[in-house]
Amino acid sequence: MKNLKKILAIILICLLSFALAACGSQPAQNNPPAQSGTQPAASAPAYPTKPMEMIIVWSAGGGSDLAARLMGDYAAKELGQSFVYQNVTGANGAIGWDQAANSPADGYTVANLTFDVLTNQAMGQTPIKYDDFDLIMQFTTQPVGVFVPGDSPYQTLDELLAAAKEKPETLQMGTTPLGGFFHQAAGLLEASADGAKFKYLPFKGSAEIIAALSGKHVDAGIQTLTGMEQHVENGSIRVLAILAEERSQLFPNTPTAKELGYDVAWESWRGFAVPKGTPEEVRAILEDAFKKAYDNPEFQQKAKEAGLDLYYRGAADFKTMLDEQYPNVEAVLKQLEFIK
Amino acid sequence: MELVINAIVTIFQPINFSLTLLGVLIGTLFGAIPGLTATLAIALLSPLTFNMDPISSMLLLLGIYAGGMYGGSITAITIRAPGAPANAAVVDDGYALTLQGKGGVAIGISNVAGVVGGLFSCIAMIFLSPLLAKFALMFGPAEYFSVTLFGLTAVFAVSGKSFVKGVFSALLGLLLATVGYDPILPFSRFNFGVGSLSRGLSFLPAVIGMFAFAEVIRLVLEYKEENQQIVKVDRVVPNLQEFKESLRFMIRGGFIGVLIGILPGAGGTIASYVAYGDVRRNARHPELVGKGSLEAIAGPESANNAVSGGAMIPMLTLGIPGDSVTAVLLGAMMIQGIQPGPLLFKNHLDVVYPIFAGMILSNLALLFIGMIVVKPISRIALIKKPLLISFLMIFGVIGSFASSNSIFDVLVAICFGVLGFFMDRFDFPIAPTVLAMILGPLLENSLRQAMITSNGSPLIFFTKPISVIFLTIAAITSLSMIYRERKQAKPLPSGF
Repeated sequence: MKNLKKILAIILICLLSFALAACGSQPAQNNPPAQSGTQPAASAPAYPTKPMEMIIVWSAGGGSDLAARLMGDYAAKELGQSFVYQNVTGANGAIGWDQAANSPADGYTVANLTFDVLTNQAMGQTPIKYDDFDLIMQFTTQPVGVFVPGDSPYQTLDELLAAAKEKPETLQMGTTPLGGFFHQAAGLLEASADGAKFKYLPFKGSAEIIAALSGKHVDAGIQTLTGMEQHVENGSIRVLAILAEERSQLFPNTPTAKELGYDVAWESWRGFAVPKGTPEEVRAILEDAFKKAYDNPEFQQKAKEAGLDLYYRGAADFKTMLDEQYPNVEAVLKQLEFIK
Repeated sequence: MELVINAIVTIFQPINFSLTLLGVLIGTLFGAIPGLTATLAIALLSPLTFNMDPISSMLLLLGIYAGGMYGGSITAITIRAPGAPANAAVVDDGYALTLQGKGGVAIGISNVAGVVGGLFSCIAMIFLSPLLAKFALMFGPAEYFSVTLFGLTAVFAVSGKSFVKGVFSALLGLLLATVGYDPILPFSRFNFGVGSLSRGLSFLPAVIGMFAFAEVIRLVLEYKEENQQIVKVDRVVPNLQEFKESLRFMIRGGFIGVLIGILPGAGGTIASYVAYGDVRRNARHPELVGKGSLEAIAGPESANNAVSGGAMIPMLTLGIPGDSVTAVLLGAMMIQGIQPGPLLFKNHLDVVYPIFAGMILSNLALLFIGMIVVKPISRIALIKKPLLISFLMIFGVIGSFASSNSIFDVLVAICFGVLGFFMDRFDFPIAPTVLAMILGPLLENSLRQAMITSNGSPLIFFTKPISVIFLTIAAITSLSMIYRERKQAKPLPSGF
C-alpha cells in the first residue's frame, strides 16, 4: 500500500508538472517588464501588463499553427509578456475569427490571420470581414506552383494548358476543397489561358495532393512550394511553373507563369491582427514588437529551418495588399461560379 | 553496420534513454485522460523540444506516441470512457471485464498487445518501408472507398444481438457524420442554421457522451444503497494461458494495424475496429466477444499501436503523414531541420536509424511503464459508485471541452449521452454508430472523389484491382458473418 501511494504520488507530480509545462511554456521565458530592454517610452500606456491571448484558427501542430507560435514566442519576448495560445478551429477559420473580432479591443487578444479570411468574406458565409480587424503585420507568404507527376507527358505549362484547352474538363487537377486558395489559383490559370478547363479533384490538404501526384492519381496539382524540393529532386514530381510575381529561391530554374505569358500571381499569406478599435498606442507597441521579433536573427534562422517563406509587410502595406487582393478573390470566385 | 551500432549507442545515452521513458509516461497519462490525446501532448510539448538535439526530441515525441495509443485503453476498460477515439473498440469488452473483476488483466493484456503490435510495426517499418510506401501510393479515391467500405463491415462484428439493429445504428452514425462542412464544396450543410453545428459534430465528445455519459445515466437510475457490490481487482499480469490465447490476435492485429497505418488519413481508429471484426470472426469463443473477451482487447489494442509504425512509413519515406500524430511529428522534425521524404533515407541514415531504434526502445519502455501504472489505475474500479459517477461526469465534461476548447462540444456530449442511453435501453448497439461516424467522412470523400474521376460511373470500383480485392473481402466477410449468426441463433430469429 505504501508502494502504491508512492507511485501514485510520482504520477501525480509528473502529470501536474507537465500540465504546467504544457499550459505555461511561455511564462518560463518571461522577462519582467522592468528588466526588458524594449520598454516603451515613458509616455506610452502601461501595456502589456498581463499575458495576452493569441487565437489561432487552425489546429494545433499544423503549418499555420507552428508558424504563428514561433512568431508569437519571439514577439512575446520583445513585449515582456507571454502569449496564451488558443486553437479555435472550424468553419474554415470563421469561428475563431468571429471570436477574435468580438473580443475586447484592448490589445490582449491577438488573432492570427490567414488568406482564408478573404475567401470566407467573399463567400458571404460569415459576417466577419478583414476590415473588422486592425492589422499588425504580415510575416509569411506562400507562393504556389503547378506540379505534374514525374513521368507526365506534359513538359511545360504551355503543353498542359494546351491539353486542357483541347479536351476541356478531362485533365484532373488536384486542389484543396473547391473555392479555397489552391482552387482559386487554378481558376486564374484557366482564365489566363483562354478556353482551358480542368476537372477538379479536391483533396483535404497538401499531404494528400502530394500523395496523389506521386501515385499518379491526378494529371496535375496546385501545391505550395515548401516541402516539395525533395519530391522534385527525387524525380517523382515535376514543377512546371510558379504562380508568383518572382521566381522562388527553392526552384530558381523554374519560370513564373508571368514569364510564360500567363498573367497569374496568387499569393497566400499569414499575419497578425487585433480587434478593430484597439488604441493606436497599443497597436504601435505591438507593431514594434512584432517587427523587432521578425528581425531577430535567431527567429529568422528557426523560421528557415521550419521551411517558412518569410515576407514582411508592416500594418499599412499589409492593408494596401489586402485591399488590392480582396476584389481579385471576389472576381475569381465569380468566375468559378461560387458567388454571383 | 557502424550506423546501426551508433544508433544503439545514441539511444542508450542517459539523456536519450530517460527522455524516451518520460515520453512514454506522458503519453500514457495523456492517453488515459479522456479528451487529452497523444496528438495534443506532442503538439504541446514540441515547442519545448525546439532547443533540444534533434534525436533527443524525436525520442521524446516517439515515446509519447507509443504511450498515448495504449493509455487510452485504460479508461476505456475501467470507466467506459475511451481516452482517445482509437480505443473506442475495446470499451464493450474491457468494461464488461472490469465489472467481472478482471479489469486488471484486461489492462495488462492491452499493454502487452500494444507492445507486440508496436514491435511488429517497427519490424515492418525497418525492413519494408520503401515497399510499403509504394503500396500506399497505389491507393487512389476508388481504392480508398473500397477499403473504407471493408472497414465498415466491422459493423457486423460490433452489432451484438441483432444485425438489423446494428445496421440501423450504423446508418444513424453515417447520417450524423454528414453534418458540417462538405468535403468537396466550401459550404456547411445539415446544420439547421445553428452556427456551432456548421463545423460538424466533433467525434470525441460524441464518443464520450455515448459511452461515458450514457453509463452515468444508467448508474444513477439503477443505483441502490445496498447495491454496493465491491468489485475485486485481481492480478494485472496476464497468465501464460491468457497470453497464449490472445497472442494470435495480437499478431493479426499488428498486421492489420501496419496495413491500415500506411494509408494516409485512415488511422488507428479504423484499424482497431477492423481488428475487432477479425477477432469476432475468428475467436475461439466468439460468443464471448462483446461480453468480456480478452482476445477482443488484444486484437484492437495491438492494431492501434501498430498503426504508429505503419503511419511512420509514409511520413519518413514520402513526407506524407499517415495520421494526426505523425502530422505533428512531421512539423516537429522540420523545425529541427530534418525534412522527411524520399531523400531522407539517402542522405540522413544517421537520423533514420536512431528513429528506428527509438521506436523499438519506446515500445519496450511501454511494457515497463505500463505494468507499473496498471495496478494503481485499475483500482479506479474499486471507487464507490457515487464517487465514480461524479468522476465520470467531471472527466467527461473536461474531455469533451478540451478537444477544441468549446462549450458547445460539452453540449454535444450530453446530447449523445441521452441518445446512447436510450439506444442501449432499446437494445440498439452503440458501437456501430461510433464506427460509422468515423468512417462516414472518409467514405463520403472517397466516393465523391471517385465519382468525379469516373464522371459518375460506378464501374471505377470494379476496374481497379486493389479496389476489387477489398470489395470482394468485404462481401465475403459480411456474408459469412450473417450466415454464421443465423446458424447460431437457431431458437430466435435474431431480431428479424
